[in-house]
Amino acid sequence: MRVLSKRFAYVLVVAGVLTTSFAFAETGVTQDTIKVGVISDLTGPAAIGGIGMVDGLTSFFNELNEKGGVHGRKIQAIVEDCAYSPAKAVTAAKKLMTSDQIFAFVSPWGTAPTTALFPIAEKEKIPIAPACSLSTSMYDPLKKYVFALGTNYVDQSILIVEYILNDLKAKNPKIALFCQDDDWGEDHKKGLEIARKKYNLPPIAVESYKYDAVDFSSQVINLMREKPDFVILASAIKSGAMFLKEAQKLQWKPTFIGSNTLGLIATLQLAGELGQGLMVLNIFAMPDEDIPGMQRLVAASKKYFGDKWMPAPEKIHPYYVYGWLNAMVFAEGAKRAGKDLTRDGLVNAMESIQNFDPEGIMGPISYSPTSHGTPGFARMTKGDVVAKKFIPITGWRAVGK
Amino acid sequence: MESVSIKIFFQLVLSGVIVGSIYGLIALGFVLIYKATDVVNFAQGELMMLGAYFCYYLIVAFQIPFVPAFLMTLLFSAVLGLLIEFLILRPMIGKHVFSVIMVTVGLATLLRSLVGLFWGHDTYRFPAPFSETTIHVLGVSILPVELTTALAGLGLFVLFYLFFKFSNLGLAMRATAFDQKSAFLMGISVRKIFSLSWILASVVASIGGIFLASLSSLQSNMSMIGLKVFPAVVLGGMDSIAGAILGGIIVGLTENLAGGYLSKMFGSGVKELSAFFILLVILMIRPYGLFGKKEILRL
Repeated sequence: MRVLSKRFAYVLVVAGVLTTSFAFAETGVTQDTIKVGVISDLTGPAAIGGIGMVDGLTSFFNELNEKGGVHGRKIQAIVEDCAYSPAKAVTAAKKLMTSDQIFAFVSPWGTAPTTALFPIAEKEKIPIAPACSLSTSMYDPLKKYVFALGTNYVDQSILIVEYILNDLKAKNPKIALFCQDDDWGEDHKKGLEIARKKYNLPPIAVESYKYDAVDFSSQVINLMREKPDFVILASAIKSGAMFLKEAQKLQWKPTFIGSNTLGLIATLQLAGELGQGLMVLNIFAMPDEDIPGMQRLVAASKKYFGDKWMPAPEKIHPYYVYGWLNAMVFAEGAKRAGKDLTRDGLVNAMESIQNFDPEGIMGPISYSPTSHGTPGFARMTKGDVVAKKFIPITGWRAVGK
Repeated sequence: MESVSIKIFFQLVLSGVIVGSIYGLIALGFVLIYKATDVVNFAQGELMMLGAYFCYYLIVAFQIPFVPAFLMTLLFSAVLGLLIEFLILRPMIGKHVFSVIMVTVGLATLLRSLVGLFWGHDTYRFPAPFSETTIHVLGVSILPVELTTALAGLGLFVLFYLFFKFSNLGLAMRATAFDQKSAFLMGISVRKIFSLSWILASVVASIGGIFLASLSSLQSNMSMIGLKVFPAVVLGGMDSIAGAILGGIIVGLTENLAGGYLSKMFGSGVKELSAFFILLVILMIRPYGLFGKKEILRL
């Protein structure tokens, strides 16, 4: 035992000398690897999406590494679980920075845990590139080291209103919002207020729910009393499905439109026949679509995860797609930063990304020194219970166009 | 106009009673264990979740019809309750109350992780046999699953009331709760009573879990309702069966009426807050809960 540990110590010393002699100037970057940290929810309340995100991200990096990586360096993702807790996210971040010596955070999961990382990013000058959250708080106000990807909730609300006005041709529609009682809901409220002022609409009725609620009857009754024509459901799938059931029970039939959080197959399973024709705004392409980006994603999923995500292409979780995209954008930033990769170099390179097409999986991605969020693009889709998927009914739309 | 507001009032009351029955069923589990063993079981919500997942598994994986699956789940929960008491709680007898509570907190984490490992974290639709057709009575609407839930809550309440009032075992449980030492000296097997209370609590939990999953859906975070129900338990009195059920219904009613009538003034958050407000008021008047046993300390 003693001999072994002594030998092990020698190996460590030699390995240490070797790595330092080959080490690059920047933490987490060596001759042949870039180490990044991924903090996700693997065991907490949003684990299904968190696990999907990590798998999507790793499959992109795996594929990239097989093709030679970025400037000859392979990207090594070290994954930590935070179970959606901000405190655990901070602990995980410290572990990743001190013991793993990572170069950057890629795709930290969820608004609250990611927000807890902001002070670290600023103090240690370590990039979060990009975050896995659709909250506007990721980049408003602008934080030098934080980027985000995906159509935020404010833009989603505006896009839904514009769909109601332009496509459904509603005249002076009365719109109501059902949302979660937190930042997420606040973003939707903000978006609807912007749209209301811009298009001069009647006041928006709002009802919210607490995350762990099991009963939504008073919210349904309150909104019903306001007699809206359209109800925007910006909720988790369970609460969304229960809201629809409660509304059906009370024979209340406004037009329901969901935000992207309802664009999952599970929504159709939970809501049953109420999911038929349910309109949901989706911000990524559908995994079974015939576009190059999705074909590549599906093939990689099959290759690295077998049947886990893909008994059929449409089963691939939207957050799997999200992880894939975040990995793609990080890789693009690292590529642009060049051979001499540094943290500040990565930030500058990310800011130079203009109209980058993620192979059709979402709208074009642009950042700038004054904006670290991507422009809002989305498509309206319709639930098909028999085919068990959401089918696009519009093309890609940008806010205000 | 008048009749519409009356209808809305009754609809809010009815929904409050239904969600209150679920709270009551879960609160009942807390009380059963606390009454006999003086332990607050923080894993009650997890026992409930496990029951629901087990029943789901029987139905989906083995194609067992709902009723036999339901009965098998009850049996499973009984065995689980027995094992938990025997393996985990019994070695803790006589230890500091705080240590025992921490053990149940640990048990909660363990059960939650196990469910996550076996069934993942996806949201599933629970394959309950209830019809989706709404029943309309006197202007209010109710789903069959909601009606069944309320009736099950009521049925269990009556059953446990009779059990504790008339059966020897029930009396023995009450005696043990009242004074462990005397009960032991009178020939009551305190160990058996401890096991029994865990068995009953676990069975009640899985009934609550199956109804909750039928009402909403199956999700690994459904166990969080365990803590949400706490105001109901304290409100009714930690050691009262009637208190648990009524406490649950009072909390459900308060939440819904506050949500329906006060949310315009105070925002939607008033729905959840109202339960704690009522709790504070009742504890000021009756610190031992509505139906709790009054312990007098003379200083």
